[in-house]
Amino acid sequence: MAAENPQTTQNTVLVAVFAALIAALGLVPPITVGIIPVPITLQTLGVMLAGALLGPVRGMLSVVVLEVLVLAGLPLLAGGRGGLGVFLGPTGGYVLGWIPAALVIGFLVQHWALRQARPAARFAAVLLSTVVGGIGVVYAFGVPWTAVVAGLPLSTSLLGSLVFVPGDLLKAVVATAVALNVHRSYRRLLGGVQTTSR
Amino acid sequence: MTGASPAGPLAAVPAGPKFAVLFLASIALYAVPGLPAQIGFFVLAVAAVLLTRTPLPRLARMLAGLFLVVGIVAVTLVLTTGWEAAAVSALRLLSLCFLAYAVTLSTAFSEMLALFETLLRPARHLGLNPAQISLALSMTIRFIPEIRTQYLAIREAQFARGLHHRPVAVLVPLLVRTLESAQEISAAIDARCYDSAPPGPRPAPPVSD
Repeated sequence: MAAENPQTTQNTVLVAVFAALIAALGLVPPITVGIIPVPITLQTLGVMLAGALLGPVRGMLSVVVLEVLVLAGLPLLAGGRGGLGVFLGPTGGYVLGWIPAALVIGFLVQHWALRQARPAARFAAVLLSTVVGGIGVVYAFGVPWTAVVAGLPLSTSLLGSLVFVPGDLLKAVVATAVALNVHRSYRRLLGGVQTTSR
Repeated sequence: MTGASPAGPLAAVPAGPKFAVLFLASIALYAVPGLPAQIGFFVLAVAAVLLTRTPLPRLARMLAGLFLVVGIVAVTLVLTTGWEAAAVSALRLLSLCFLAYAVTLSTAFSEMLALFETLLRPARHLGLNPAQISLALSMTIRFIPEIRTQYLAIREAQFARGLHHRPVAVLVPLLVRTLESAQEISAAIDARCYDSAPPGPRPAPPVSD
C-alpha cells in the first residue's frame, strides 16, 4: 500500500514542515493585530492552522511531532520553554490539549466547514471550528489539569484561564482568514474540497 | 540548540532509568501526604537539579515562568484553604518540575530521541513506519530556522508596504511558500528513493558483507 504510494512521503513532509512552522511561530517576536496594542504570541495560531489546513490526521501528527521534540528537551515552545518540566508543570494540560485540538479542528473544517456553499457561511463555519477546537478542546484539557496538578478548585482554575480567551478568539479569527485564503490557492490540500466562488 | 552537552554525575545514567525514576517520583509526590515529606522531596529535587551543573543564570531563566505560575497558585491557595495546603501544593509542583528539568538537563537530545525510538518500536505492528517517523522528526528540526528566517523576511517586506498590523498579509505568503517547498522536498526525497516502504520484512541488501 504505502510503498507504491508517493503520497506517503508527501504527507510526512507536510507533517514535518507544519511542525516546524508551529515551532517557528513560537520563536518569532509577538505580533500586534489591527488597532489592539497587546502583542499576541503566534504558537496556538500555528496549531489552529495545522488542523485547518492539513485536516485531522496530518494536523494532529504535526502537533505530535512538535511535542515529541519538546519532550526530548528542545526549547521550542513560546518563550523558549521545553523539556519534561513543561508537561508536568501547571500549564502542561494546555500544551497536551493542542493534540486533540488539531484533530477536532481538522475534522470539523474538512467534513463540515469547507462544504458550506456561501463564502460568509464558510467563514463562520471555519471560525466556529477553530473556536471549538482551539479554545474549547484546549481549555477542556488545560483547566482540569491545572486544578489537579496545583490542587486548586476547578472554578478558580477556570476563572484564571478566562484572561486568555480574548487573545485566543483573536487568533481564531486570524487563523480562519489565513486558512480560507490558503485553501483558495491550494485546493488539493484537503482532497478535492470545493472552494469555488472566488 | 539546548546549549552545552550535559555534564555532572546524572549524565552518566542512561535515559531509561531516569524516566522510570521520574515516573515513580511523580506518583510518590501525590501519594505521600504531609508537609515534612514534601520538604524532603523538595530537597532531593533541588539536589538533582544542582547535580546537572547547569549555570545558575541559565537555570533562573528557565524557571522564571514556573516560579510565576507557582506563586500565583500559592497565593490563591493561601487565600482560599490556608497556608499548609498552599505550601504542600507549591512544594509538590516545584519538586515535580525540578525533577523533570533534572532529567532533561542531564540527558543529551540524541539520547532522548534514541529512547523514544526504542519505545516506538512496537508501534511498527500498528502500521507506523519508523523510517517515516525519524524522517519527520529530523526534517522538523532542519526546517525551524528556515521558516523563521522566511517569516522575518516576509514581515519586513510587508512592513515596507505599510501592512504593519495585518497578520494575514504575513501568514498567507509564508504558508504558500512553506507548502510549495514541502512539495519540492517530497519530490526530491522520492527521486532519491528514501525508504518509505511499509513496516515488515525488508528486502535483502544487494551487496552482502
